[in-house]
Amino acid sequence: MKTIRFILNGDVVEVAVREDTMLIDVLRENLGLTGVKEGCGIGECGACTVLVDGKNINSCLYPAVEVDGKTVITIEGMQNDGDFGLIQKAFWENGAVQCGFCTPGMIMSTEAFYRENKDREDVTEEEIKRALAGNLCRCTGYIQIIDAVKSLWKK
Amino acid sequence: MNFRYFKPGSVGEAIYLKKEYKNSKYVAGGTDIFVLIKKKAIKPDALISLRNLNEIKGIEENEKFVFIGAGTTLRELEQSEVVRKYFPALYDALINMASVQIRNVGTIGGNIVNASPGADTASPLLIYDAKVVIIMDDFKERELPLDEFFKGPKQVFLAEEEIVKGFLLKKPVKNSGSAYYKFMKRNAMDLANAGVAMNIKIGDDDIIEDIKVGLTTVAPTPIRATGTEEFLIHKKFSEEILEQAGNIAKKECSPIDDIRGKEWHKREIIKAYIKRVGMIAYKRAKLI
Ligand SMILES: Cc1cc2nc3c(=O)[nH]c(=O)nc-3n(C[C@H](O)[C@H](O)[C@H](O)COP(=O)(O)OP(=O)(O)OC[C@H]3O[C@@H](n4cnc5c(N)ncnc54)[C@H](O)[C@@H]3O)c2cc1C
Ligand code: FES
Ligand code: FES
Repeated sequence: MKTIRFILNGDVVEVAVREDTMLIDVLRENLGLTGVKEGCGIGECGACTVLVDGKNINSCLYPAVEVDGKTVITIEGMQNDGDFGLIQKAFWENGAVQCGFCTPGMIMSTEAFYRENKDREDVTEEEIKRALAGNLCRCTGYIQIIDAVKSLWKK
Repeated sequence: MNFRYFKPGSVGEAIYLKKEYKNSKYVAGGTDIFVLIKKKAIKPDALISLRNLNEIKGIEENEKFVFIGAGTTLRELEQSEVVRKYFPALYDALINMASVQIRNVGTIGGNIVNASPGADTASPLLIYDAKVVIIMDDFKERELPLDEFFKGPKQVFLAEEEIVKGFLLKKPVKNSGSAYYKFMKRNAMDLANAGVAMNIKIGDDDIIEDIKVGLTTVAPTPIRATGTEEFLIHKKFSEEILEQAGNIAKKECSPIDDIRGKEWHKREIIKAYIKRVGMIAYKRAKLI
């Protein structure tokens, strides 16, 4: 076991983990953040996406011990005082959520993309598709999701 | 899964740990290794992380060469001005690889050492005459051309304890242009069925003064299409000549039927892409 310390959704946490555990398991099992979803477990679907030091990564392929000293944000950290945050609201307003399984990962990839590009006038649909290529959705057909992301630049 | 995980802070410490643990593996981004472990294809007792080795990260340039550290992430490369400016074929490959999530952690060193015949950064590196810089277990360095580094499918000439430090690439000469294009079943997040990289130097009267062609997923390893290169050199550039070159490339590669596609289809893709990639490389050569 190894004790790791990191900032999780704004708070410092300290947790003892097995060296061979992936971040997703520590987030879900040890820390109770079940908003982080596991779909494929091998980097294909993006349901497990979280931000580590501002970058979106697949937590199913990321060893927990590697976040020691880093900053992690999950879907639970995206709310705004108990209400939806900006991106959550955009997804809600555009009907981009059906079963909701892909949504936490979609929102985390959107957050990473938004942080990088929010000061620009606009972004293209092509850029949005590339930014979300690692997040699969079996329900929506993606159109509403792309609309939701586009709407972030229209406000 | 049942392994120890070490995070050495220096190359020396990493090599020491590698020697200590017989059934161990180096891991960089882990986007190949963890998939293999999860699929139970490999069962290492220990993983030695290369993520904290600053010696193998980053991009440096001098007048003639650019050095790309093996531990540089695919995403860092894609966002690098140096890559965009000097190595457009590598840039073409990077932006169509995997997903942002994978590129944020996966490294160029991992892509090359993993040595899949479909490794997307391989044929771009081949056409820039990349040399692999390797740190040996006595900390001395050795260098060898990338095409001599590949041994077979998923095999490279690298001893257990050796660490790839990075890749040395020649900066492009005047009037040269390069490009990479891969055929995928989906438009994203897919390995290539077949891919072509080309680096071309155009002289007076549109004569091809230098030419390098790299092929992906159509041989046991990423390869240089030397027959195609010999055919094209010193010829006058045209669409027709690319068409003829495509017929040679299609014959000199050795694809197999697999889940990604049929042999004949991959040969046809190679033929079509020699022309497509050649046209893009030519246009880029004319722009510089
Ligand atoms: C969903 C998904 C999609 C993918 N899509 C693509 C794609 O489109 N194109 C593509 O080419 N690949 C793709 N890959 C494969 C993978 O992401 C890349 O090959 C990546 O570049 C591997 O880098 P890494 O740092 O994660 O490697 P790791 O898994 O850390 O390492 C791979 C191998 O290299 C060795 N190694 C790594 N660095 C060094 C070093 N410096 N010295 C010595 N040995 C070293 C390791 O021991 C291991 O054997 C995909 C993978 C996934 C999971
Ligand atoms: S669960 Fe991590 S990518 Fe699918
Ligand atoms: S809403 Fe169901 S998977 Fe996307």
